[in-house]
Amino acid sequence: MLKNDLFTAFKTTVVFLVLCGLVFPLILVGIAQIADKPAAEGSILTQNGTVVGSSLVGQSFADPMHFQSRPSGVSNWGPNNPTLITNVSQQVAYQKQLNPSISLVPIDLVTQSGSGVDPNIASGSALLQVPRISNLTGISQDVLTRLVNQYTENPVAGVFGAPRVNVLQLNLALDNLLSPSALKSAEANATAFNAAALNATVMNTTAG
Amino acid sequence: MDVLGIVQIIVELAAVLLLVRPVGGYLVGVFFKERSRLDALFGPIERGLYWAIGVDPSEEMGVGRYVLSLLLVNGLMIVIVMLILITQGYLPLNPTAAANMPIDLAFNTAASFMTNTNWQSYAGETQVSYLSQMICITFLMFTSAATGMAVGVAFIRGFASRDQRPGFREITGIGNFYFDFVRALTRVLVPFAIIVSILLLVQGVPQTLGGPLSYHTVEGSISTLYRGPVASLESIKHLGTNGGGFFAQNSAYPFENPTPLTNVIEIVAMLIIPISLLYAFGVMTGNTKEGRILIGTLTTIFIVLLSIGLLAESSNPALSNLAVNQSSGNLEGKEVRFGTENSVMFIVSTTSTGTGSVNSMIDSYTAIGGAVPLFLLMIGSLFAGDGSGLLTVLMYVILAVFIAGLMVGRSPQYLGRKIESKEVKLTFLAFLVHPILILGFTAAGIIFATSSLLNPGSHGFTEMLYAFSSAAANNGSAFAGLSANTPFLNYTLGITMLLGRYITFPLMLLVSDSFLRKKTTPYDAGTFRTDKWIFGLILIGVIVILGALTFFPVLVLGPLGEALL
Repeated sequence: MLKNDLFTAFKTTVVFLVLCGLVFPLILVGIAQIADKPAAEGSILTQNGTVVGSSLVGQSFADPMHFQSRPSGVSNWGPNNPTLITNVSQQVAYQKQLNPSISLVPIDLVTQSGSGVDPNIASGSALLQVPRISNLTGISQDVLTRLVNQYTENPVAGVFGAPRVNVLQLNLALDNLLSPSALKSAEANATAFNAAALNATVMNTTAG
Repeated sequence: MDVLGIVQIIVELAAVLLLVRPVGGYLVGVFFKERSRLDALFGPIERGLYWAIGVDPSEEMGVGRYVLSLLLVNGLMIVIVMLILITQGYLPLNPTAAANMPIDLAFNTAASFMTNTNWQSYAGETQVSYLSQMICITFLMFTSAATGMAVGVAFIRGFASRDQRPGFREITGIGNFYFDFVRALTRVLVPFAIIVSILLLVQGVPQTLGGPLSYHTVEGSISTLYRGPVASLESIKHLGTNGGGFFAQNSAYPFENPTPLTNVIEIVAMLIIPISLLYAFGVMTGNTKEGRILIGTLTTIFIVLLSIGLLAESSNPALSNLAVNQSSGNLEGKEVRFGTENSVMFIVSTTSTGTGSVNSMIDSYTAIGGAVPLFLLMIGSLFAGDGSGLLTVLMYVILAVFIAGLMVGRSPQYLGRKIESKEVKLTFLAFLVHPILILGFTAAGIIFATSSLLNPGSHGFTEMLYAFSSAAANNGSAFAGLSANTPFLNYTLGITMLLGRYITFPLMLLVSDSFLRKKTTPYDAGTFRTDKWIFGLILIGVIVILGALTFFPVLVLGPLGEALL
């Protein structure tokens, strides 16, 4: 009796392992490849034929001529962990160096996300970076503001999701605005700016 | 608090509650009616499956054989999945070059997915092959949910109305495990999962066998893009109240949950079956109000706890001295596309059901924000898992009826059947399983596994307490700072998950079987009615008081201590 039951259980395992574990996902691979191959493959972005990432997955931008995304990685620090508070205050100091005009830094720019690769920042957090990027690239603030607005994703059906920008796509569009020679000089500006900002941060930390 | 966020939450809850009646009615048709229009489609498939497995689905099993069949099927699945995981390095479809799993991790993983827990001590993108993601993880997500639904359906039969209603199958006993298990798959989980997978695909969730891509980022650093057959896993992960992610960062990772709309789809998918089964329960008792009162009562607790969570997460007081604008809430560990409101909504939904997927890192929630999901796990997750949740809810109902009976001094009655010493003993035993597992193993963990804690003080204690609460409730969410991949935690958490599920099942099925055999007596003026809202209030009291009395001391050591210090 038990032997029969065990054999039945074994057959059940094999049958559903094949149906639920192989047939189901493979049929969906087929459907996905026909219906929307780019999305099925991971929404990959290419530039001049080389892969530069996925439009869904965020990247970190250290260069001050680019819009900054959220600090990368996942912390799992508790809300009162001293390490969290130190990290956030360092990020606040850095953001204030980059963007001296702001008094309060939006929380998305100074905290780590849940995925570690959050593709978005709030559109307000992108707009406050416009003066800096305008200085470094020579692109007017008007054009940059329009660019941010163009790349702002508004709530679906007016309800779902807060207004936000995809930082990778915004920066790719920004790079496209710059001619190769302009890009070079902007990068030189940015390097000088970065060195100055770093110096200032170091001095600040020693003073504090 | 963001008004838009609150509107989103209201829309999500409304969507679920609107779907409950049609889906609940559909479930009644699938499991309890003689025939349906869909027989032409599913009938031949099911007959083929019964033939392949070699079972007669109309045979009445009785509790003993029902439980035995369930344990044999689940046990064998655990063994076979363990074998695959410890040899996956030799098997095909492994573009990430995942190594063979060590035995403690394979045991933890197999136990975790078979018990519908989906606790993950591994990182999916690097430690599991595509083949294992499909024939271990996705496979067990389907079969564990179907096992839970089978038990839930069998459980309902004991409480069903005795009137022979036209069109309904005659109930002669607890039923046949294979009938319930196969139908849960063919008529509910697989078709629903196909629909949800396609909705997710449209929103950008990948579904490919293409391997990881190495690339240079815009600023030139080298990075790897992990992907795979994600959409097919993601759909059943939520419909089956499973919760284990394809990626380590679960539904926070953009490939699992890329847009605000996928977030809504996942929330609705995880809530719909457990709540609809409560509606189906009401239909089967012959009085839909019995189900509606339960849904209303649990939804009330849900909304109260959700509100507490939203208030707690509106800012992190520890950052208030810094020059930070916290108007969008405590975003540490949360994604911008969901915002604070839809992160908290997701976490409360995932711990109100047996799901345990996360779209934000609970370890970084404020003390009270993290206490909300922890408390939900401790009280057994409100609606709990697909099917298995009915057992948890009815456990509280029987205790509430018993306690109310003691208060008014009449012998307690539920649905016209007397609740006697045998049922009360079995129900209390079932109730005690979780506190014993949670408190006992947390104590052991605090002694033997302190090196696994990430955060200091009370918060670190909560990491351990949360892990065992999650394992006992078969939920699977985590304070993810805990380094869980150690032999000690892999074995103790694995054992907690197994005992949390397979002790409760037979005990509550025995309760149901005992109800099945009882004579029904009609209501009289002195009967304490369970189809009135006053019963809902008593039920809330019982759930909150039992939960609070059992767990108050550890809550003080953990989140309450952290909030007050």
